[in-house]
Amino acid sequence: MVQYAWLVPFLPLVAYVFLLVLGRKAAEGLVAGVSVILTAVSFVLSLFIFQAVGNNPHGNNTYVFHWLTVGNRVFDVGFQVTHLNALMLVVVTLVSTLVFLFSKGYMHKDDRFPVFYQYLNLFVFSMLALVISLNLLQLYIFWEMVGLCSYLLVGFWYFKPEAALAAKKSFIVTRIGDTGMFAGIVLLFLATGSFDYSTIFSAVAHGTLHIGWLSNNGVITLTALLIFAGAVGKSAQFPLHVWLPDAMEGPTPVSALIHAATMVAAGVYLVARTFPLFQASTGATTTVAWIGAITALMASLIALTQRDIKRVIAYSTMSQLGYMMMALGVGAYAYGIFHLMTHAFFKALLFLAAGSVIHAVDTQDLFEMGGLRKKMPVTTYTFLAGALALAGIVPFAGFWSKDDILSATLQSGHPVLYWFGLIAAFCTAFYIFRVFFLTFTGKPRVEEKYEHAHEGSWVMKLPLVVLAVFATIAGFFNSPVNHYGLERYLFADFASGTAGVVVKENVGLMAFSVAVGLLGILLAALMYWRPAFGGEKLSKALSIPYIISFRKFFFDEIYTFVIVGGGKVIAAIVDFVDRYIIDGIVSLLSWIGSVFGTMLKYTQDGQVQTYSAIAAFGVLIFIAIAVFTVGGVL
Amino acid sequence: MFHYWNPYFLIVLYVVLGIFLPVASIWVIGPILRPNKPSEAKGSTYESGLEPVGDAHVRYNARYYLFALMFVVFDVETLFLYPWAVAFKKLGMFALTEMLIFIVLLVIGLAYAWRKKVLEWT
Amino acid sequence: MTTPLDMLHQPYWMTMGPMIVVAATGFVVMILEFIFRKGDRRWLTVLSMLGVVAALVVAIIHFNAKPTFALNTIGVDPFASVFSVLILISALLVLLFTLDFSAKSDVPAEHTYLILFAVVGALTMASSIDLVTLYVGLELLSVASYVLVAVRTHSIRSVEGGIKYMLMGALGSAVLLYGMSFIYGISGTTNLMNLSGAGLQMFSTYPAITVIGFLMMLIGMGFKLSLVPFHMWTPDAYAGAPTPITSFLATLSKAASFGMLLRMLVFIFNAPGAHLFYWAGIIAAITMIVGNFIALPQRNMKRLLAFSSVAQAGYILVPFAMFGIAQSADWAGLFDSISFYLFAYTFMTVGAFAIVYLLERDKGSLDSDALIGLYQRSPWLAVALTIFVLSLAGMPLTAGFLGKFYIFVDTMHFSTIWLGVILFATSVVSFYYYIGWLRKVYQKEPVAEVTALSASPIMHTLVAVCVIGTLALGIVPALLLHPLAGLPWIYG
Repeated sequence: MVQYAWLVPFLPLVAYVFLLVLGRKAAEGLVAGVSVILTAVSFVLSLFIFQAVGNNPHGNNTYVFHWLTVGNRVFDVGFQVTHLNALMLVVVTLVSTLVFLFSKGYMHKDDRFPVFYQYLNLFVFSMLALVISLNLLQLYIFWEMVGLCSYLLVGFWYFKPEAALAAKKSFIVTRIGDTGMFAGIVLLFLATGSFDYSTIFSAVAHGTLHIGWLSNNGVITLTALLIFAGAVGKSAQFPLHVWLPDAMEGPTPVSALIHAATMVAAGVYLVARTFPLFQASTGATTTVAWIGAITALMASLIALTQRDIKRVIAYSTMSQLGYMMMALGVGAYAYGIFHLMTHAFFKALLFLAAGSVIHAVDTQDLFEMGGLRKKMPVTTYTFLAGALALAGIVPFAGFWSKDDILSATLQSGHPVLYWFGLIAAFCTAFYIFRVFFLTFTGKPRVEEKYEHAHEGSWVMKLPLVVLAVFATIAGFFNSPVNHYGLERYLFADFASGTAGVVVKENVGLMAFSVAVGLLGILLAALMYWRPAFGGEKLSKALSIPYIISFRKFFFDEIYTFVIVGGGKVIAAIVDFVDRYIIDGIVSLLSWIGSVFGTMLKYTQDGQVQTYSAIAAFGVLIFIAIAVFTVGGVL
Repeated sequence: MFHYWNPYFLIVLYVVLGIFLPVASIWVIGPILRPNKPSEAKGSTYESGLEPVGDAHVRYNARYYLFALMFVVFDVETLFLYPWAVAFKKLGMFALTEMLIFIVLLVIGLAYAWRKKVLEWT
Repeated sequence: MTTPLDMLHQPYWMTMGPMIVVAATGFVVMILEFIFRKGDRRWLTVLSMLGVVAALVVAIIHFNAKPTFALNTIGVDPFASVFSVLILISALLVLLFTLDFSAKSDVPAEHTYLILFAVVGALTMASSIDLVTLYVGLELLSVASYVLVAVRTHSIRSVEGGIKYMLMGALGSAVLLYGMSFIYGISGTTNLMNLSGAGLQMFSTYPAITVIGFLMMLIGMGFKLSLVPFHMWTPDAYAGAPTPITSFLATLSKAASFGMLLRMLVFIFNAPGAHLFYWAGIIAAITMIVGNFIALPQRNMKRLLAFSSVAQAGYILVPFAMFGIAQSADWAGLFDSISFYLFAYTFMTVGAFAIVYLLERDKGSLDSDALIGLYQRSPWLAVALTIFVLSLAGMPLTAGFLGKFYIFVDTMHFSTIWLGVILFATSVVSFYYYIGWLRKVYQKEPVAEVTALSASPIMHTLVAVCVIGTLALGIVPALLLHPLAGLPWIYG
C-alpha cells in the first residue's frame, strides 16, 4: 500500500492540470466536483496508508529514485512515509476535501471561481508532496511552492489593495525565514554530503558533523536554529508573525486550509521531522520552547481586543502554533503533533464557521453581528463545538492535546513555560467565547445585516458538521480510551520506541486546566452574554441571575480595571511592539532598499561624460588599492 | 641612495624642462623678442592663403566620412599588399591563398559600398 | 612549398570549422542581400540560421576532440567547444527572434549578417589562446554590436544608445589592451600557453605590474560585461537597441566575453591566483548589490531587464573569485557552475525579452504597466513570462535556481561565505521587483474589452523553446551537466 503513497499528492496535481485545461470559463459544479472527488480519493488512500504503516512499523517505507550525480554530489528524489508523514497525509487530505466542498458555496459566483480551485489544488499538491518529501532539498522546493500558492491565494482578490499588500507581505516575511532555512540545509549538506534525513540523523547520533570552521556541536546548534528560522516564518511565530493577521485578507476557505490547518503547521512539522537534530542541542530546544511560549501568550493577549472575527481566530492560530512549538521545545514530541492534528480540525472548523457567518452578514466586525443563533443554528452549534475544543473543555479535542502539552511542560521541569501556557489558555477561552457570544447570542446590532442573514447550502453545512464531529471526538485518539494509541503510533518512527517526554496521567492538573478554561468562558459570558437575558427586569425577577448579574458588574469592574485594563495595556504594548517596532523594522528595510535604489538611479543621468568619469574613477580606485596592497612599486 | 633615486630624478628634470621650455618661449621670451605689429589679415585663421568664410563649427556632409572610410580601407590594403609582394617568393602558396581571400573580402566590401550608393555623391 | 592541397591536411577544419562556416555564410548573405533587394527578404535570415546550424553541427562533431591549435593560436579544446556551442545556440535564438522582427519593421537587412560577423568574433574569443587574436575577436564582436545597437537609424534613442555603447566600449578596449600590454611587457609573449607557466614568476618579480595587468584585463572586460561601476551604458544601450538586438547583447555578447575573461584570467594568473582573484569577488559583490538595488525603482521594462542583467553578471562572476582558493583539481566544478549558469541565463533572458518585445510592439510603450492584464490577454505567454521571471529570480524547478544554487554551493565549499551571503541576500532583493512584474501580469485589465495579444508562430516557437530550455535545465540538469562532467577543462 505504502508504495502508492505518491498517488496522494499526484491526484490533486491531476485535478490542477485538468482545471488548467478546462480553463477559466468552466462550470462551477464541474470544477468543484472534480476537485472534491480527487481529493476525497486521496483521503481514502491516506487512510489505507496510515493503517498500512501502522501495521508494519519496521517495513521499508522509503522509495528512492536516482535523480542525478554531479561530480561527487548525489541528488535523489523520492518519497518516504513515516508514521508522522502518514498522519499528516490524513489530516491534510481530510481538511482539504472539506474545504473544497465548502468553497463551492463560499466562492459561488466569483469571477475567477475555476482559478481559485486551480490554486487550491496546486497548494494541496505542494503541501502533500512536502509532507512525504524524501530529503531536505525536496522539502525546500515544495516549501517554497506552498509559499507561492499562499501568496497567490492571499492576493486572490488582488483588486483590494489590502489584499495585494498582504500577499506581498506574507511572501516576503516568510522568505526572510526561508533564507535562514536554506542556509541551514546547505550547511547540513556540507557537513554530511547529503540532504537525506536518515544520513543527517545518523551523523548527528555519531557526532560527525564537521565543517572546517565549526565543531560538531556548533554545526548542530547553528543548523537547528537556521532551520527553525524557516519554521518561525512559516508558522508565524514571534518575531516573524506579522504576516499572518494580514493574510486574513484572503478568502476565508483559504484561511481555513492554509493559514490554520496545513501550511502554517508546516513549520511545526519541519521541527518535528528534524526532531533528532533539535534534541541534540539544548540551546536549540530551549529557543524553540521559549519562542513558542512567548508567541502563545502574546498572540492570545492580542486576540482579547480584536474586533475582526477572522483576526481573532488568526491570532488564536498563532497562539496554538506557539503551543505546538513549545511542546516540541520541551521534548513533548507526540503531544505537539497530537495538538497539530486536533488543532487542524477545530481551527478549520472555526474558520469555516466564521466564513459561513461572513458569507451571511457580509461583515467581519464582531460588533455588527449578534443574535445569529436563530438564523444560523448549524453554524452556531458547530462553532460552539470548535470553541469548546479550543478552550480545552472536557471532552472536546483541544482538551486532550492542550492538557498533554501543559502537563508535559510541567513534568519536564519548565514551570515558567507552564504558567505562560496556562495564562494563554485562560485568555484563549475568554476570547473565543467573546466571539461566540458577540456573534451568536444577544440582540442583532445591525438590523439590515441580520435580516439578510441565512444559513448556506448543504455544501457549506456538511463540512461544518463533519469537522464538528472531529473537533468533538478527535481527542480520544490519544486518551486512556485507546491506551494512548496515537502516541504509540508516532513513537514507532524512533528506533528506541519513544521520543522525548511521556506524560503521566495527573487528574489534578487536568481538572485545573479545565477550571481555568471554564473561568475564561464564565468571564466572557458575564461580559457579553448577559444582555441576552433581556436587561434589568429579568435580572431583578430572578434572584440567582440577579446575584450573577451583580457579580457580573463586580467582575466587570475588576476585569476592566485589573484584567482588561492590565490586559489592554499589555495588549497595547504588544500591539505597539508588533505594529511599530517589528513591522517597522520590516518596512524600514524595504524603505532603505527603495531609497538606496532611487539614489543609485540618479547616478544614471544619461550623460556619457558622467559614465566614463565614473568608470575611469573606478579603474583608478581599484588599481590604486590593488597596487598598495600588493606593494613593490616604490 | 643617489643611485637608487637617479632615474626618478631624471624624470623629474624631464618634467620640469617640459613645462619650462614652452612656457618660457610662448609667454615670456617670445613677447619680449618679437616685433609687435598687428593687422586684420594677420589675426585671421590660416587657410593656406584662402579667405576664411563662416564659422569652423559647421556640420560636414556625412558622405565625407564614408569616403574617408573607403579610403582608409584601401590604403591599408596597399600597406598590407606591399610587403607581401616584396617577399612573395619566400612566402609561397600559403600566403598567396591568404592574400586572395583578403582581396576577395575587400572586393565584396567595395561591391557592397557601390551597391549601397556610397560612391555616388548626389 | 605549401600548396592549397596541403592546407586541407592541416587541422583547420577541426580548429576553425565553426568560424569558417559562419563567416562564409555571412559573406554569402551579404552578397545575396545586395543582389536581391526587392520583396520579403526574411529568407536571408533563414539562410543565416542554416549556416549557424551547420556551424553548430561542426562544433558538436569536434566537441570531445583532443586539444589542437592551428598556428598555436586558435583551435579546439573543451573550453572552446562548450563556449562555441553556447554561442551558436544563443545565435540561433537571436536570429529566430530577428526573423519576426525584420518582417515588421523598417530595419535595414544589414543586421542579419552583422549578427553573423559578431558570432565569428564571439567564436574567436571562445577558441583563441593568444591575447592578440582574442582582442581581435573582441573588437569584431564589439564593432558589430555598436552598429547593431544603432541599426534603427531613424530612432534617436537607438543611435544614442549605439554611440554611448561605442564610447564606453572603446574605453573598455583601451583599458583591456593596456592590461595586456603590461603582461606582454613583463613576460615577452602573448601566447596563453606560454604565459600559463610564467604566472608565478611574473608575480614574484613584478607583483604590482602583474596586479595592474590582471585588474585592467578584468576591468576592460568588465565594460563589456557591464560590471559595476563600468555598467552605466547598459540601460541606455539596452533600451535604445531594437529588442532582438538587446537580447543579443545580453546573451551572446555576454557569454563570449565571460568565456574570454575566464580563458585569459585562468590561463595567465592561475599560479599566483590567491593574490589576485579575490578582486573578482569584490567586483562581483559590488555588481550584485548595485545591480539589484538600482533595478528596484525602474519602471521601464527593458531598463529593468538591463539592470537585472547587470546583477546576473555579478552572480556569474562569483565563481571567478574561487579560482584563487580552489585547488586545480576542483576547478572543473567552477567551470561547470559558470557554463551552466550561462546556458540557463541565455534561455531565460531571450524568453523574457521576447515577451517584452511583443508587449512593446502591441502597446507602443515599455512601461511596466503594459504587463497589466497579460494573463487575460494570453494565458500562455503570461505563464511563460512567469517562468522566465521566476527563473531570473531563482525559484526552484527553474534553471535559474539551479544555476544560483551551484554557485552558492561553490562559495560554501571554498569558504567564501560572505560572497554566498551577498548572493543570497541580493537575490532576495531581486524577488521584490520580479514579483512586482508578476503582480501586474495577473492583474485584471481595467478596460472591459480584452483584446488577445497577437504573436506570430515564430515568436510562439521562440518562447516555447526558451520555456523548454528553462524548465528542462531546471528539472533535469543532467541534460547539460552530464556532457560537462567528464570534460578535461584543464590539460597539459
